[in-house]
Amino acid sequence: MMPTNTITALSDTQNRIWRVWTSGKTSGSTTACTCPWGTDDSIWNGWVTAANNTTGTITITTTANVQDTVWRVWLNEPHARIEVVRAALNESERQETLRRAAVPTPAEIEADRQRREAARIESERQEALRRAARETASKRARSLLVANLTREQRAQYEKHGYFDVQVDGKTYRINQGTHGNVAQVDDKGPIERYCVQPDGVPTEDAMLAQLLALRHAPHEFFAKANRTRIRN
Amino acid sequence: MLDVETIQLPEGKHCLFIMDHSGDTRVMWDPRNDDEVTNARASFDRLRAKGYLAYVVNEDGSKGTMITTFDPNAGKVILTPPLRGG
Repeated sequence: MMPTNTITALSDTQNRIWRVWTSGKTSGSTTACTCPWGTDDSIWNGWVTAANNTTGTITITTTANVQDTVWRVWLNEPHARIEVVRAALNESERQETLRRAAVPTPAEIEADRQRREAARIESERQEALRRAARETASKRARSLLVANLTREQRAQYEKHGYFDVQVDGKTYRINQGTHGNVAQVDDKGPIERYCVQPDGVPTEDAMLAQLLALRHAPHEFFAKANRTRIRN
Repeated sequence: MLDVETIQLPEGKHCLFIMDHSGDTRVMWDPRNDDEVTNARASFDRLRAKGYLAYVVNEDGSKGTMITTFDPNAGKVILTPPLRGG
């Protein structure tokens, strides 16, 4: 049984030469070699002859030292030649498979375009649903907020977008927003700003939560709030 | 005019307004219906355990109070998620 060895090419240049030969040729073929450095069929034909006969000899005329070097490496490893041929052909097939996979067909391009278009449409539909849900939630929260404002606060909110609440003789203004939107005010403007809110609710719910806490649980409100002094 | 809907509860119904991402979720009960009261109380206790704050409010927002235990006779109760400093 013929022993099998693997051959180690001496450089990438040798590998490339081998692959060009084996990809341009099949065993026994007389097709012209597509080597970029020449079209000497005798190289291939001679090699094929030698590959099928481990005791065969061949005389070739090389056109470059590098070809000669490669040839001698192969020739000096007679037991490995068949394995090298097989490996090279497998590699050639693998490269061809990869090449085909890398270049999509028109049908694949069209299918990909349709997939992208469907994904875009679905994304827009989901965004529209989220937007509608946010608007519905905001409208519902606004109704609950307004239902819990006094007549004066309601008028103020409608006119200015904020409303005031009195706590222990001080006036606190709740502006439209969720973060840092509450301030103690007097007739000169804001004195101190407070940042405190519930998570995960629409803006108007947050404003109502701030109002209820200021009105009925000020200790809870001020204990949790981050304060920013604006003026003394 | 503010574009808001008037909140109308069915006759004889009391309500928990539980703030959430949808605006609020409403749990109604009739104080004479034990099952509904039990259900509302369970919702109240579950949310209080999560740190929600509960307020009994009157019709026009002029009066109210914070509560820590469920009152089946309270007309409207608003539950807000816990406050967090920003």
